Formats: sequence, C-alpha cells, structure tokens
Amino acid sequence: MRPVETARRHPEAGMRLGHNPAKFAEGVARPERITVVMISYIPFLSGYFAGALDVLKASLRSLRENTEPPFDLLVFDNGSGEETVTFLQDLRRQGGIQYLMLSDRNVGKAGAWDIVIPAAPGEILAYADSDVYFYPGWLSAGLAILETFPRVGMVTCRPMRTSPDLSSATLAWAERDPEALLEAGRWISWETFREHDLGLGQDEDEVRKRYETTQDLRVEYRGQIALIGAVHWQFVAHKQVLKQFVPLAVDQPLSGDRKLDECLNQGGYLRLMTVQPLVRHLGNVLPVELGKELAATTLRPPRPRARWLDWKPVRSLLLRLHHAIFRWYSGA
Amino acid sequence: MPRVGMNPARHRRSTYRPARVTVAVLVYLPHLSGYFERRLEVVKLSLESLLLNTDPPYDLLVFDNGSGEETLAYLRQLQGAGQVDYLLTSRENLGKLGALRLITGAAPGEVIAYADDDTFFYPGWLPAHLKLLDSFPNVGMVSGSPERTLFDHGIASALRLAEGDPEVTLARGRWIPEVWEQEWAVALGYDPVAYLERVQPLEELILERRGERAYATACHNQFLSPKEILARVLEGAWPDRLMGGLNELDNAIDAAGHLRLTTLDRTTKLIGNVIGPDLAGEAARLGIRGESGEPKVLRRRRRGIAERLALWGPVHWFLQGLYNRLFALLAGQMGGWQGAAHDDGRDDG
Repeated sequence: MRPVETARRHPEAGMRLGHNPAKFAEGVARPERITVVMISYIPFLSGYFAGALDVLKASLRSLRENTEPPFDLLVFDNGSGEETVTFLQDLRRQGGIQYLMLSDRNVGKAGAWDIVIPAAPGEILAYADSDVYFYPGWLSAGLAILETFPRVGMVTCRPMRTSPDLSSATLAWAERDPEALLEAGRWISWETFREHDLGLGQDEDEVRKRYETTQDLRVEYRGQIALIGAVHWQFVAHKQVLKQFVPLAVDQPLSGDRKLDECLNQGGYLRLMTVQPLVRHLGNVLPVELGKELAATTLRPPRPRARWLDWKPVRSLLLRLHHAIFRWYSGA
Repeated sequence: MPRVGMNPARHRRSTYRPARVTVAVLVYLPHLSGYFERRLEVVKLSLESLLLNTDPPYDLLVFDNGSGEETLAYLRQLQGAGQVDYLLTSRENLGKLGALRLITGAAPGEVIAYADDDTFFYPGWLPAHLKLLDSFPNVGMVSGSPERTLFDHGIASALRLAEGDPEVTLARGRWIPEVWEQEWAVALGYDPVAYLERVQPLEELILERRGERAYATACHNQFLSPKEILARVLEGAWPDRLMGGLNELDNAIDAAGHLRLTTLDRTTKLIGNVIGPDLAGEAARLGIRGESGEPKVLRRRRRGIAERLALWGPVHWFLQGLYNRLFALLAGQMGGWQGAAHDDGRDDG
C-alpha cells in the first residue's frame, strides 16, 4: 500500500513519506579529546559592559590563533543581549564554535559550570572566562603539567600569587612526595606580577609592596616545573575530576566560583600554574595594544573627581540605583 | 586600563534552581527538501503540543544536531519568546546517541524527558510518566505510546521483577487498540497490514504494582529516564553512527536491571515526517492550533506590569541612559568600586 493511500485510510495517523536519509549515512562527527569551554555574559553594551563584546572577540581570536592541539570550543552564553548572541551564532555558523549553548537567563557561573562540565564531550576540559587572552603554547604547557603531575585538579596557564588556603593539599603533597622538589622564592617576574595586578585597578605602590613581601612556591616533578596555586577564571583539568563535584551552584553568587577551588583542595587534588604567563586577564576594556584592529570601545576616559561623589550617602544611593537598573534589565 | 568600574553582577545571587525534570527535544533538519520538505512543520507542531500540554515546573532544553539555518532561526525565535530555557546547537551532527550523551550531560534536572522532534504530546503526559517512575522500583525508562513491536526486546528486568516481587503481577494478552498499531505503522512509513501480521506473534505484558499498571516496555524515540541511569549507560566510546544503536540502548538499560515501562493510555504519539490530514484537526480540537492551522500564542512565563513597563520604549530609553550616566560618573571616581581582593587579587569573579 502506498503511503498516500495508507494516509487516506488512516487520517488520524501521522505520516511518513520516503526514508530518512540519515539512516544510511556512514560515519558521524566525533568530538575532540579537548573541549575548551567559555562562559559569556554581556547583558547589554553600555556601562560596565560597553567594551565587553570587543574583549570577547579578542579572546576568541587569540584562542583560535594560539592553540595548537585540536580542540572543540563550547560556549555557554548565560543570558546575554541580542548583539552578543548574534555574534556567537554567526561565529558558530562560520565554524568558530562547535557547540553553542544559549541560556534564556543568567544561572550564575557555578550554575553554568553545573551544565558545561558534564556536557563537555572531551575528556580534557580547558575552561576560561570570556575576558581571557591566550598566548601561543598555553594549552600545550597546561597539558604538560596536567599529564605529568599526579592527581591534578586544575592547571592555570599563568603564574600568580594566590591564597595558600586553597592550595594546602598541593603543598602537603609536595612536602611528602620524594619525587617532588619544593622551593620557595621569587619566580614570578615583576613585569608579569605587575601586569596582572594593575589590570585589576590596583595602585602600583600597593602592587609593589605585595610583590616584595610575598613569595612563590615552585615544585619540580619528573622533569616538569610548576608553581603552586591556580585560579578559577582559567584552568585546564580532567573532566572526570571536575564532574565529581557537580552540582556547585547551591546558594552561590552569580560570580560564585570559589567553591570549585575549595572542593578540589579538600578532595586532595593539586592546583598548579605554568611558570610562564601564557594567558592574560583582560577585564572589561580592551588594552590599546590588542585593540587596534577592533572597533574602539565606547568608554570615555574618567572625568576629574567630583568631591560631592565622595560623600558616602550620595555614593551609596547612586550605587544602589545603578545596581537596581542593572537588575531590572539583566534579570540577574 | 583593563578594568573600569565593578561588574554589577558580582554579588548578585541567582534565584534560579533547576526543575526536577528537564524536557529535552532533539532536532535535526539538515535542509528543507526531499524527506525533510515538511519536517519543520512537524517540529513546530511537536513543540507547540509540548508547550501547551506540559505543566510546569520543568526546564526545556532543545538540542539542534546540525540543522539548517531556517530551523535554527525558528528555534532561536522560540527561545527569544521565552519558550526554551536552553538551546544547545552543535555545528556537526553527532548522531542520535552522541546527541543523547551530550543532552544527558547538559540537562540540569535529575530526570530527563527525552523526545525526538516528531513527537506529539497529549495533555497530562508528563504527570502520567512521573507517576510510573515514582510507583515502580528501579525504573530506567517510561514512554507514552504503547506499541506491540516494542515487546520484542529489553523486557528481562520486568519479567524478573514479576517473578521476584510478591507485590507485582504480570498479565499477558492483547490490550493495545489495533488502530494505534495501524497509526504507528503509517507514521513509520510501513504498510499497516503487513506490519500487523509481523507483530501478531508478540505478546503484550502489563505489570501491576500497588494499583498502578504499566506496559512492560518502552520506546527510545520518546522516554523519561533518571539522568544518573542514562549517563551511566551512555558512558564509553563515542558512537560512530548517525542513527542506530538505540535498541542496544534499550537492552543496556534492561541489562542493568532497570524497568522499561509505558503508560497504558497513549499520552504521546509519533507524527512522522508529514502531518497527516486529520492530525491538524486533532491539534485544533486540543487547542494547540487555531481552526485554520495557525499556532496559538504561547507564553510560558507571564511578564508582570513592572517588567512590561521597564521594557516600554521611552521608559527603557530613560533608564538605560540613567544607568550609563551613573556608571560613567561612578567609574570616574577612585574607590567605592574596589571590593575585597580574591585569592588571586581579582576583585570580582
């Protein structure tokens, strides 16, 4: 009986005409071993976020240009505005993103991690915030540490001085493992230290003071050298290690990400960093040297100080109004 | 200077908590010609029936497995209208099992209600599925469309349960209406007469426990499953076929000791690749489509007055401008933005 005649006799039924050609297709796309995961959140292109899309573009361009091992890119968009979503969709169409996940609302960073960590198809997960710039060799260097040291929780591809509380397990291991050579010293150069801390808007004198009064911990193991510590805004990890700590999002702020650090440390996992600075935190404004070929941001240079804004009640009121408007329009 | 001002989202807490159930639909329309010529209409009817006939709470995840631009535009439009919580798109087709694996990882709920994109949902389908999940022990799959052909594999756990549990009885016989079997055959493109002859030897099995009854089988085209069970079964090497391997999935769930059940009433139905002549009429009778076939306006989340006012053009223009001015004013000041340093010196997440 032909399908059309069948349908006539069974009008309530669904119908099928022809055969699904997918049944006869040979072979299917296989995910890469490494999934680079990025979370984006740009609710609109003004205020704090005026330059954020330019920063995202610079981040993604540096990722494509400076990453050698094959990888898939999974971008989780946490409820950004239309311009950002359109940009991401265009990039996906052009092949720049393999998996694009658009969330209807901001579920927070930990909430996004709860989704992307189990979803990432690769066995290695290389995470980065959307304002990270990648330098050549970053992933290879991170993988070298990840695959040499035992029981690694995360590897950040930039050396920094981080809180020892979150690396106590790493220090304990380095002190007891006979193959580990632990040394204290100043291994991070002043230029590297300064570039990161000034980028957070800190005063140079404060940065210099911190540099001179703190030290780094370096560990050598089976010919591989790493610094002790890591950060949650960029890391390389084994997916299976991270998965055991999901869900992370219980009662966390939208930027809540210390919980992952705490879980890894409490679980006895190592948190390590590369000796060379191979990634950089960009913030919300594209540095001049990186932004020449991209559209200029719409941020104006700061105006001279107005003393009346220093009065605490005034500043507090204006900040609350600023945050309230943001909340209405971002859903955050 | 790389950072100006403070991220306003920094200390805000999300009120979002994932629902127990993630409804996940897999879409694949590589183009709109040939076999797929009228498939977009099928996808639309499927999603409309789901949105109208599924009571919250649930999260909706749509996974697009490498479709063409028209389909992606439709899905994005649906998300923009507030109907889709998560839209996950893969640039290349991972195959059905590969997609299912990614869906299982991404779904935030503890229960996944999976469906192919040619599934028609009847009112009350989800509570009926959840009732079986919660009434029987160790359930791996619950489906909504009973079909005799499904009894030919993956029923060992049901038989073992009936033998070993004094609270469970197993009945063998014929209950599925013949018209359902015919419709199933037509939706699959089979000759219904030949199909009925083929499934004639198969027995139907009904399990009963504490007053709840279910067919002792399930269908991999549409099923509800605990995420943990599905994730365990799907582990391993990535599948290398576009389609296929799904009977193996059924058998793996059964072999792991989990029940596969189907609701006695038909709570979902297979559409096929073309909407049959009277299926549109059924959609209209159920209130999914208008009399002339146009979709009803659906909105899962109603906007309050305050939200609508905030989005009204003049108000939005004023408030956005005020926000920008405040930011410029405050960001030009030193202090007031700097919060406590984090362990790495960052002042926000």
